[in-house]
Amino acid sequence: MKEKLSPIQVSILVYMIQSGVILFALPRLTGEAFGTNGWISIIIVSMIVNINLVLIWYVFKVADGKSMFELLRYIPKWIRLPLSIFLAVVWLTLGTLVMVKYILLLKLLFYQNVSKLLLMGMGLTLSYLLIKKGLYHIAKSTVVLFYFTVWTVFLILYHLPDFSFIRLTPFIFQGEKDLLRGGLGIYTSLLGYELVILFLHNVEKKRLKAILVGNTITSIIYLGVCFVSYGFFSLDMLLEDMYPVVTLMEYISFPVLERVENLIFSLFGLKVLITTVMYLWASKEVVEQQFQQLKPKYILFGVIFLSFVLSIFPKIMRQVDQWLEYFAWVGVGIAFLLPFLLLMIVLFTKNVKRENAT
Amino acid sequence: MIRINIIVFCVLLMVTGCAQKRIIDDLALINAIGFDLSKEDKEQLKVSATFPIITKDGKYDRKTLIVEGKSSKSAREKLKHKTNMQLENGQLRVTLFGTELAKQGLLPQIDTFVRDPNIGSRVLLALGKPEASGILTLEIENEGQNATFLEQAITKLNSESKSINYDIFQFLRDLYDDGVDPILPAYKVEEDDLKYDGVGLFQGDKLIDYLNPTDAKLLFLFRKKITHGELEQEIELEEGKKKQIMLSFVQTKHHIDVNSIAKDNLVATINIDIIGDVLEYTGEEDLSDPKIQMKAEKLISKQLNSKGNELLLQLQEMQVDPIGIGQHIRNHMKYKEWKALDWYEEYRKMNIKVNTNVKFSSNGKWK
Repeated sequence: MKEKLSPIQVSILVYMIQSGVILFALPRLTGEAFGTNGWISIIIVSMIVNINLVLIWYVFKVADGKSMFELLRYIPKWIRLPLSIFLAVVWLTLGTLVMVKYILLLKLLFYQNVSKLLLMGMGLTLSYLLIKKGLYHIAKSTVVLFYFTVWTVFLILYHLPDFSFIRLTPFIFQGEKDLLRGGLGIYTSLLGYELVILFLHNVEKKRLKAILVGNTITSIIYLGVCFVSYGFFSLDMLLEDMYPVVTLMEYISFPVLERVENLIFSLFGLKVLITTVMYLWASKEVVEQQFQQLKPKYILFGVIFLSFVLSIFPKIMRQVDQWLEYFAWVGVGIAFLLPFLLLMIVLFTKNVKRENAT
Repeated sequence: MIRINIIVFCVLLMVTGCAQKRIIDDLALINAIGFDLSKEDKEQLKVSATFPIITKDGKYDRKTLIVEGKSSKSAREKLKHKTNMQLENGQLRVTLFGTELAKQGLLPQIDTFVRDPNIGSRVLLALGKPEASGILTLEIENEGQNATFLEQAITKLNSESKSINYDIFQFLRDLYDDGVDPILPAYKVEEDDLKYDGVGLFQGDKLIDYLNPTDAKLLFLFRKKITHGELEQEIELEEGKKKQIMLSFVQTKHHIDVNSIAKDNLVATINIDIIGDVLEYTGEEDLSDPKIQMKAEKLISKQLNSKGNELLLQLQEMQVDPIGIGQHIRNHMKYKEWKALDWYEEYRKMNIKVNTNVKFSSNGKWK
């Protein structure tokens, strides 16, 4: 990691890690969690993410350019080792599950007979090629993939003729609600931002702005999609539709082209790829820092191999959803607690230094 | 390393060929499907499916198969036995439902269309009078595929009125919305031809009754803002002389006002402004005369109002709300009040008025 990342790269990277498969179900999830006009909840959730991001930024502001691993070295090895393994396992599993979920959806929608492992193998091959080159190159390719995919957002304009404010209803957060679990589910849709903790010290300038902009891009896109969904579907239909955003894409028909969801859904794979790549990369980094005697090449092989093995186990959507939910909760926990831990280390070591100086 | 990458890339590219193969000549691409209640066994469905084929002498033709089964997919299993080709749903364009079946509710039948990812949400829906199979088996002269005919006819109807529920998505959206009921276009066989025959009114997913095409046109006018339409009326400018007048109009205002004088005394007004050019008038009056124009405008508005009020009373009596008055009432109320309201009962009792205002933009290019 010699080259420093530019703020724009970081913003785009944050957006690409965050946006993932949950988007397809997100309008329904917001409805299930918050009832009528659930799209507003995205704003609230996004604010909490921003607070979390400010916390992460603050850690590196007081740490004077030290990286997360340099900070972790202050704590004793018997704590650091299990913590590192824990982080590596959670991130590896999250990265894998996101890809498996996407593949299962792809199988359901288009390729019923294609083996999951074949698709997984393809995804992981691409991931391997990207991770091997290191973060700087991942960030560069992410920018390219961003322009590949971001235009699809504007397809939402196509739904405006069928959009009606009257279906939005003036009721805010009424009806059946599942605030805690559902709210957490929506929060996990923005998950992925916590990985900035691994590379924020390596960003040139405007660190806070860069990560906040990244989260804002994701939030605005999510908000737009959900808002349009609420005026496009009626609420009860939204709650019945497993993947409202797939239906949304299905509804687009151009004069010469119908069922464009085939194309867009496949393009969406690129975003999922970046999410997986970054989680696997994070997992690899943690292991690499912990076991410096191992060759990085073998660690990467190991991570990819473990990810592949892991993907064999969840065979059906129900399992994947459940695993993903549990691991995403753990991910949320990490997103909040890890920066806290680092902050404690920074403040503690600073105090010790000051005492020594005096 | 680059060489390995190229090899990996090539292998991956070739692996894509291992996916399932579908040879188009061997496929029976179902383009229309019809559902009816079986005559013998009321538990059973009669499913008719039609798909294009190429006959032995190279002619483009179609084949229609009819089977009975408990559900759409179980009937599909039986359809498989009746054909040498592989059945595919992906090209389905039109789905028809028979009257009797629609009266029992369409949700169980529509389920498979939204659950099966092969079928898009743009499949058109329509009602068959009295039976869907009659429409799909009909051989129309010089008209190859009934599915294509229906597809074009329904799309045309939608582009004219903009307010029919014509595909699965729109039907379900209004079905699940608690403040509006869906409607579907109806078709029947008449003298060996297919004919549009008004709309079916639904309460939830159950067909209640049909509206004739003239009333249906009025309903479209009240349902949503129509950007462009045609209106023909019989007016009596001089007493005893009924004459035909036809306007090509744009709707400049479509607004539903809700007032609640008391909690159980709701009043809704449908306000509509229409500006149109006269394209036909069979009377002798000079339509370029502003006085006569104003008189004609008033007459047409009055007639539309009284016809509209009649239609609404009819709808209220049937307890169907295709106009979506309920949406406006709902948005006017508090959430708990709305949930506690027995909406259909309230709808039957409430006072709904039509207030149309017709203006001539010009009298055409003749006096």
